Amino acid sequence: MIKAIRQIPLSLLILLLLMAFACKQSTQAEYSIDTSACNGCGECVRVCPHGAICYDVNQKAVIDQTKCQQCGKCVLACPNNAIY
Amino acid sequence: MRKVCAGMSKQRYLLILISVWLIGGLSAQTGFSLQNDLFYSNNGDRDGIWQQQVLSMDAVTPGNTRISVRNDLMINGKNRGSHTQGFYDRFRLTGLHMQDNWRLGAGAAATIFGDPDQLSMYPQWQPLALQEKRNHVSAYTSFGKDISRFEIGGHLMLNTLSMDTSEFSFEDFSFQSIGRKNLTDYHGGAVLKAKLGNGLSLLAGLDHQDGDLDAPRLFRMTRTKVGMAHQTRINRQFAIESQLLWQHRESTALPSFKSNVYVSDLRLRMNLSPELIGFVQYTNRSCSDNRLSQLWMISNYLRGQLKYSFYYDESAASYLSLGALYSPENEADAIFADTDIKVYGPWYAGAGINLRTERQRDIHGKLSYHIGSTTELNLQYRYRKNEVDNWRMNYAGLGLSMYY
Repeated sequence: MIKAIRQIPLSLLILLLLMAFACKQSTQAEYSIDTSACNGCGECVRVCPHGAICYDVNQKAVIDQTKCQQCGKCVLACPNNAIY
Repeated sequence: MRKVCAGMSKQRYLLILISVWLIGGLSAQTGFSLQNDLFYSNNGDRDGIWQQQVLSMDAVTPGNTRISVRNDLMINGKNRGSHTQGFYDRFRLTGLHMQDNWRLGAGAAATIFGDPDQLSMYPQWQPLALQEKRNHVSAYTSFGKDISRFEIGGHLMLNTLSMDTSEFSFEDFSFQSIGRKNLTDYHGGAVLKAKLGNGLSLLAGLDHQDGDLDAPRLFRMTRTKVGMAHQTRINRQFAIESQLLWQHRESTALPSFKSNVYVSDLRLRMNLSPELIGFVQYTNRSCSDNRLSQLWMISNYLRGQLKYSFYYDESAASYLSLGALYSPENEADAIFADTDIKVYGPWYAGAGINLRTERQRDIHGKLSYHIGSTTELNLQYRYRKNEVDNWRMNYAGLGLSMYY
């Protein structure tokens, strides 16, 4: 375990802890897509009422934050739980 | 189906299918699957028997130049859950040419939304207008080149969303159709990566997007990003990947306290045995304004998954998958499990559950009979209850799947 921790850059570990515990929560939600879990099925594209989700060059879904109205419908529609 | 073809795009739809078959026929690897389900639903206003068809075709050519084509056609007799379309078709064509140390790619995708609901898609900007999504078309080109320890890449993309639009008329106090409008976005970006050795790499990139639809600067955004990534293998069973990314965003559509986003990501990959694999991932997204006067948390994302493959099934189709997701800021917590197991001869039994805390419950079960290696007859049961929009689906279906 110690060997594992030593392999992680120290700066990243400090920033992770800082951001996880020292921040105030944003007053406005912002949804993101875990691209490693997204299989490009398009369910989120179908349910998005604002046309804010499209595909990137890797055919993974991506949320356009300038159009997203934070309704959260895509979160529940994703069969792989890739949107958070 | 008849309505869709008459409305949008009978010619385009036929062109899509012909393209798929032409390119598919020329390629070395082609696939075809058809899933046809007959469902019975007891869901209030959606009671009754209805049909769903999912038709998928894909083709991939081998070699230095790879062309991939895929088409997914879905026809529902009734709209399902929060979907506003009974008909849906998605077509993708991608090409990638690789030679020595450079790559050149291009692709196009088209999505057709049939029978959509009228929605207020841009309530803040157009409060007195309703839109129906009709089709979405995108095209891109990309390139990449490796130079020693450096890797450069870039892309250009064009997205067009076509919508039938209605505007409120104060003359007769009703919405009047004003025809079809197109919302076009332009995307462009470049990225430079440097591999420093020992699994450590740095990256810097720039993305710009612009949009029109009568509001030229509403969807404009420029993103500058700088980051570092590190990956290492601890032993044969464990590997760690980490990434730290700072992203600066210039856009009038975003509040100032979201001008800078900090993404930190840590993933532990586990390969515990030939049958058992999994990972644990933690991602934090935070933001601040340009003066860094306050650091705000956007979301935490903790996810763990394990998958066990049963060795006795020679086709490697028997598995058990378990997972959990913790992301309280965006109410995305979930516990999920999925399995499909060969029980006797050609008989398989599958089940799955996806619990989104108190927001949505999803349960399904499937009993399937495999006829050879290409055809599957299945009996399904699905239940989904959505507490947010207060709807539920409770249905059983008989399906036929064919793969070629």
